[in-house]
Amino acid sequence: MVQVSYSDVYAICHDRDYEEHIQADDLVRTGANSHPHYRVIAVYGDKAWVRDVSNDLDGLTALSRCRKINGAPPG
Amino acid sequence: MFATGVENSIPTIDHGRTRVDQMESCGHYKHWRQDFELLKELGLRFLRYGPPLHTTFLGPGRYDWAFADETFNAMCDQHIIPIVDLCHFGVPDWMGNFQNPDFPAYFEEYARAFAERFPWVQLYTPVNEMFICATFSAKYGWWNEQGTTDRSFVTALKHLVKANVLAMLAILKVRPDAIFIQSESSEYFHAENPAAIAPAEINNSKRFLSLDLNYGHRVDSEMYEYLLGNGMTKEEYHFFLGNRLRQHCILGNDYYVTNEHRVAADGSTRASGEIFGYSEITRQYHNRYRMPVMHTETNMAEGPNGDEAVNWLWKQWANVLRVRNVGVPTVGFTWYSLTDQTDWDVALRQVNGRVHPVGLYDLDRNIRPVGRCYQSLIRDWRAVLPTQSVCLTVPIVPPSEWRTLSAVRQRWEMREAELTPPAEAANRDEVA
Repeated sequence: MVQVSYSDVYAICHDRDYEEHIQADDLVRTGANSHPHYRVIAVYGDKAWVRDVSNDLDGLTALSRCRKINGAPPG
Repeated sequence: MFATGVENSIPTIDHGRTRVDQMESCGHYKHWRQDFELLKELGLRFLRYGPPLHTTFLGPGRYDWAFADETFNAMCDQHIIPIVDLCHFGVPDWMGNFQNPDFPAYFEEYARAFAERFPWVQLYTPVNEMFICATFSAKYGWWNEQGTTDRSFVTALKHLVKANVLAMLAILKVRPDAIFIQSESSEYFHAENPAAIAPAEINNSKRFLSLDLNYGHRVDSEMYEYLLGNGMTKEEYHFFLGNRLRQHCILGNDYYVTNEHRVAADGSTRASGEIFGYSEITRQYHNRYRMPVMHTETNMAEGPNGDEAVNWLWKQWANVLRVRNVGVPTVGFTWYSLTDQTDWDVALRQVNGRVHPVGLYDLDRNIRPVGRCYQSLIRDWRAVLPTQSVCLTVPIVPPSEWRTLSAVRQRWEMREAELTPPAEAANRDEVA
C-alpha cells in the first residue's frame, strides 16, 4: 500500500530544488526548515535510511528530500 | 474560529531550582513583533496567548505589566483576538507551587487585575490544562512540587480548579460578557485485557475530574470517595457544585497522539497511540457536559518524510468536521503552537534546548510545510464552521469594537442576566 500524503492537496513539495550528493554519514535535514537533524546511515537507490540525532529514531526518506547541513546552500 | 498559540509553559523542575520558560527558549521575548506578523501571513486572528505569570505577578498587589502592556497593546492595534492564558503549568517563585492553599486567592487577584488593565480582552483560558498540570506536578513528580501521591494530586487539582473558578468570577465582574475557553487534555484509557477493565475505568473517571469540578458536575460515588479520601473536604466539594459558570464556557479540549493509554491488570499505563481519535473522545466529553466544543491544541513533530505534521493536521481537521457533522456544536480549531517548541520530547523535565519541531514556523521563523497547509486550510474552510448554524455564532467582540454601542449593550445585558436570580433548576444538567 502506498502511504497517502496530504501534501499534494496544496502542492507542497518536500524535495530540494538543487543538486546535492548525499552519502552515508552525512548530517542532513529532510526539509527546508532548521530542524530536525539526521545522520544518514545508508543510501539505497532513491531512498535514505536516516537517524534523528536528538532521539536516535530511525526512518526512511526520499534521498531527494535530504539537504546537507552546512552543505551547499540553494541558489 | 481558527487559532494558534504562543507556547508559554513555565513549570519549575529540580525541586524549584530551575525555571523552564518556553517564551524565552523559543525566542518570543525577542521576536514577539515578528510572531504577531506571522499571524497575518497565516490568515489568523485568534491567538492563545498569556503574559509570563512568574515575571508579571511579583507579589500580592504587585505587578510588572511592562511586557504585557507592549504585547497586548500591539495585539489590540493589530486586531488580533487573544484567548488569554493566565497560568500555564507554573506559578511565581514567591508563591511556591500548587500545594499552596493561598494560590487560588492570589490567582483570583491577578485575574481581576489583568481584566481591569485590559478590559477589551473577552476570551480567557484562566488556567491551562488543569488535569495535566496536577498530574505532572503532583502525581508523576515531574514539575513544580514534584509530588507523587494521590493526596498531593488531589490537593493540586482542587487548588487549580478553584483558582480557575475564582478567576472566572473575578473576570466576569469586570467583563460580564467574558467567554472562557477551557483547554483541557482529552484522554482515554484502554484495558489491555478483562483484568485491566477495573483500573482502566477508574482512570476513565479520573480524567473528567478537573472539568467535573470546574463545571459543577457531580462526580460518581467512586470519585467522590477518592477525592474525600485524599484530602478534599465536603465544603470544598460543595464550593464547586455551587459555582457553576458553564453558561460562560466553551469546552476546549486538546488532543495529541499521546492522549490515549493502555492499562495493564496491575494498573500501570503506557502510551497506546491513536486508537479512537479526537472525534470519538470529544463526543464522550460532549455527552458528559453538553456544551459547545473547540479543539484547543494539537500538533505533531515533523519527521524524516517532512509530511508527518501535514497529515496529522488533516486528520485532526477531518475529526473536527466529523464531530460537527454528528451534531456537536463546534466553534474552533487550534494548531499549537505558532513556532517550534523546546524540550517537550522529555515533557520539559530537562533543559536540553532540544528543538521540538511541531510549530507552524521553525525557530528561525521560517514557515514549515504544516504552516503552509494550515494557511490554505484556513482560507478554504473558514466559512464552514459558522455555517453550522448562525444561531451558534460565538458572541465575540473584536478589540476594535469593544467600546461600540452594541458591545456596551451586550455587556450590560450580560450583567443584568447575572444580577437576575436564575431559574437554577433550569441550568442543571442532572435530574433528581
